[in-house]
Amino acid sequence: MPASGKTSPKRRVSRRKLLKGSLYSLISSYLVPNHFLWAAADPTITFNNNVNISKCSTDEQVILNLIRRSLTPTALPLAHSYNGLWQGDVRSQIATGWSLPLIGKGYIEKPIDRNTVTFIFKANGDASEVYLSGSPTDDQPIQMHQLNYLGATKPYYYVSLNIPFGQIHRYKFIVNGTSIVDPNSYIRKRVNGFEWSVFYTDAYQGLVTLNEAEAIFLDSIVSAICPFQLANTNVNFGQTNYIDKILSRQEHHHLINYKICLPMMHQALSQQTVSVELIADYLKAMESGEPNHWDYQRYNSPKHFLNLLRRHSVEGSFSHPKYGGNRDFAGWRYLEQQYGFDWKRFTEQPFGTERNYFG
Amino acid sequence: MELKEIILASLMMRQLRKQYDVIIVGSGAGGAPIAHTIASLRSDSAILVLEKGPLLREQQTNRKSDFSRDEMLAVGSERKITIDGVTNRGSSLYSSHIEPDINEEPHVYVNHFGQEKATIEGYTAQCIGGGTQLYGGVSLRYSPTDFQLRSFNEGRDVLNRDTLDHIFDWPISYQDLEPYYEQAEHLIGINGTAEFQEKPEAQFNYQKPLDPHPISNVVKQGFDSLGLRGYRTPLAVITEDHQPSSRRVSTKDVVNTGFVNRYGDPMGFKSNTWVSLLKPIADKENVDILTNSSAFQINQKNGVVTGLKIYDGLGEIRDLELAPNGVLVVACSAIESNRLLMLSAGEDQEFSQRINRNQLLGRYFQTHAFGGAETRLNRRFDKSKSLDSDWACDIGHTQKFLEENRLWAGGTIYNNTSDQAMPLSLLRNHWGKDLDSVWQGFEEDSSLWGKRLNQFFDQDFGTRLSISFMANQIPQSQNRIYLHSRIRDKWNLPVAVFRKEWHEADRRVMNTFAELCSNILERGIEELDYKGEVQSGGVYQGDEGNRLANHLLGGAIFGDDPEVSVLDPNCRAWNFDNLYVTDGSFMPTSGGGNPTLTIQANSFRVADHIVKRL
Ligand SMILES: Cc1cc2nc3c(=O)[nH]c(=O)nc-3n(C[C@H](O)[C@H](O)[C@H](O)COP(=O)(O)OP(=O)(O)OC[C@H]3O[C@@H](n4cnc5c(N)ncnc54)[C@H](O)[C@@H]3O)c2cc1C
Repeated sequence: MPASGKTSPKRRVSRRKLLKGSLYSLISSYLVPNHFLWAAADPTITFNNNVNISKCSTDEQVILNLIRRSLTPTALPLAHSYNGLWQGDVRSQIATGWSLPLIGKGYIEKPIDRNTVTFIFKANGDASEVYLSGSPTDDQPIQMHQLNYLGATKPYYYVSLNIPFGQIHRYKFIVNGTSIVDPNSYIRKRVNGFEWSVFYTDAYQGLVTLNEAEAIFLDSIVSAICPFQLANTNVNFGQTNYIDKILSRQEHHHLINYKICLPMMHQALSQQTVSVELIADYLKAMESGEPNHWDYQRYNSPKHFLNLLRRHSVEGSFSHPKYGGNRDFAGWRYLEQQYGFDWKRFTEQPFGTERNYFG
Repeated sequence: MELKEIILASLMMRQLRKQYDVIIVGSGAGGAPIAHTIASLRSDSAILVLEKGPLLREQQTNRKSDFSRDEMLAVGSERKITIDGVTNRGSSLYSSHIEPDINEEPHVYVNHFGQEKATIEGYTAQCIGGGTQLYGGVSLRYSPTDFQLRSFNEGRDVLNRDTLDHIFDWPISYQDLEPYYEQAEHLIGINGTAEFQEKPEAQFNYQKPLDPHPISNVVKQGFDSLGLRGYRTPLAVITEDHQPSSRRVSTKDVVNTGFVNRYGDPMGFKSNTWVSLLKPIADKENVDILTNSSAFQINQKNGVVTGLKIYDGLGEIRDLELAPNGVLVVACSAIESNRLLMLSAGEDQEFSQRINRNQLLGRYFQTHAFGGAETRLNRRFDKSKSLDSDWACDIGHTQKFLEENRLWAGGTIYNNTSDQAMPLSLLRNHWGKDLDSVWQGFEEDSSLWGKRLNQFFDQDFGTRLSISFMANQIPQSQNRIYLHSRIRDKWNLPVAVFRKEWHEADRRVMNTFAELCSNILERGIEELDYKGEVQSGGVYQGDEGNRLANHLLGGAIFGDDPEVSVLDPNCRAWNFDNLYVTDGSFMPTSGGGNPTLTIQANSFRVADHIVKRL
């Protein structure tokens, strides 16, 4: 069934708003505009500074676990290249490179409000001096520690910082006087003409991969896929933010799907008043028909993209808010309201009521 | 707390000894009991536990536990299979945060049509504790008949001669293992009840179970209505303070959570082998635990193991040496243990001659005949407040049942209380998918969005109930583990391939048990005046031969007769002086229940034998 051309009454659709550095914050809602400027540009990012950040001790077992998982050599040079897409990039040789730097659990104080972020660098060869510098340190280099393993020093360098939830930062390593981006980490951005490695802490609410226009549009699609609504409010469940986050790290390989398909969908839908019903019609066509303006040369299966959207939307509704979705636990609160799901009982304080579990 | 944390961390980083008296490869169900026993009895023996995966800690060891009550840890984000030459290259791959990356360390499954697929099903978990970190904790003993299935079937006309020729009695009886079951239950920490288990003259060591979840009442009523006698499923989760491992339980309520099966437990209540067996010995002077390090070659001379080669935590090759009179224990879980033996044979002709003398290494690979029944009730429950199972029943082990149904072997029935309790697990296991195809049912059911998604939650959230059976699978010689001729892992070593097909007698077992499971649910629903449609089946339908229930058994079976077994009755490799294999590989038949408690009990038994020779 193709998307019908009938006009539907405008409906209120909740929508994301950029709240920088806020923690699991509530979101207000907007009317979806008829159309808006489509921009291919990257999102603009305002980096945090070093307020509330402190150096802390590193858990050496965590370092070892991370090295084994992500930095030990592999005889399969393209195992993580996304079918060759990253050929030639060192990141194609390591598993879960997206988990560098490690956004770990923070020191346990109540309320739990920060991550311990662990940076790690593997030097080629010997006798390096390695520093970390960037927005978390106010661009002051801090020296990284060298790993001692089974009684010998090894060319791995690490340092950990406690950083509040919901922040984004840029950083570099300075190796023997030369500054370089983290060769293994996924996110990189140009700032004032220079390339930086970038990371964000749990529940960060700003955009990293999608630009604002894409995010606004995606928000309306997601609300058609997951028409969940909390009683008496119109809060945004944060699925779009979840998707933006997962596309920057774990499922970076799917970013291209969004970059190709969202513009096609937008082109088809921006002609008319965008309502939830209209979007639903279009999604129906993606599921089992021929959606308007679909360029099959560029992307041969609208259904495949719909499936991706569906999985990402439900994950963004119901995964822990640290992943960026389920904002303010809206997804779990919805299940509580509808079905008596007692999520607070198994959830750490201050969000839930379980005193013995630290998250 | 802080101090303990520092001690443990430094322990893992300290220098290795030049020689060890005992090296144990693999820290899960098969390995940890050996380390615990020897460390407790022999302070003069230097012990090394070698583990391929990381050490992940619960809150008691480290307040920032490496586990969380987080659905994205059980089944994470999507990756693509990138291995060349497998038919599912390019397919989606999901796994838990402590399963290996199968692009780096593949297992290959060959199906009935000869197609090769990469699979995650052949792994348990790769970390200290192995599969016991992720397991549901169902800790059943096998029945006495499970140990003697050859004898039991001689003279019956259920199996033909050809089939029977590949079934071997265990070289030990239930009575031989009974004291070790007791020891395992005591040291590991298990809750459950003993009455109505079909295990005669037995002493059980259980903590008191929690109150059953109200949804399980359907199963209890079903049992009662059919005249079946249920007992509370033994679960490896402590419900009270556990003295042997110094674990404390503050309130029962905090124990009662659906984050058990497929989750590591941040609270340390689940009795994995780290919290129950290894952590209590970890700060002993004579015990070293080396994480993130994998063995890839066993060295021997004249049938005496002298040491092994490993890749350490930084990926560098090291040699580990055994002291004279030392002992090597291999417990990597069945597929990987068989692989390690085969890799060693590939490098050393004498090793090969010794281990392959009867060409049986890798054969009789088994899991269980398993399946069950499922229903959707017209009542809603909060299933997040329950452990993995509440009720079990041993009817399937009775002589009468086996005769009436003409079954070659029996099994256990138990309900699953916490499955699909959480919203994402409900969606990603939609249409009952296995580990290699999570989310697939959700994707195939492509109209599941918008209003239909709301309806789905209305109907299915907190209303689904299932009941399973775990029964013996026929051991077949062509069901086997071997090395792939071309596909290699991240260390450039050949990976393991496995074949596993069902026997006709397996289908019969699965049909019979599936029908009983569905009767139980139907009766229960009727008794309680609920409504619900029941579906049932075994796992043999479709192209699902790779489904393993995470139970990896056989390949290096033990026995009395060196002609038809790989290990002797003490799990020592025939033709070797000091090489033991103690994970699930040793089982000549798979047993009528989940295997882990039996693996643990057997390891305690083998440990007693090893202590005597040290
Ligand atoms: C989700 C899930 C649920 C389960 N539920 C149950 C249940 O309810 N009841 C039950 O009885 N069983 C259950 N099981 C199965 C149970 O986990 C296994 O039966 C048990 O752990 C097997 O013990 P093992 O010693 O053979 O192997 P494991 O316990 O897996 O231990 C093997 C260890 O060896 C390590 N290793 C492998 N290769 C090497 C190497 N080359 N060098 C060094 N180390 C190596 C591995 O990393 C692993 O840690 C479940 C499993 C899973 C995954």
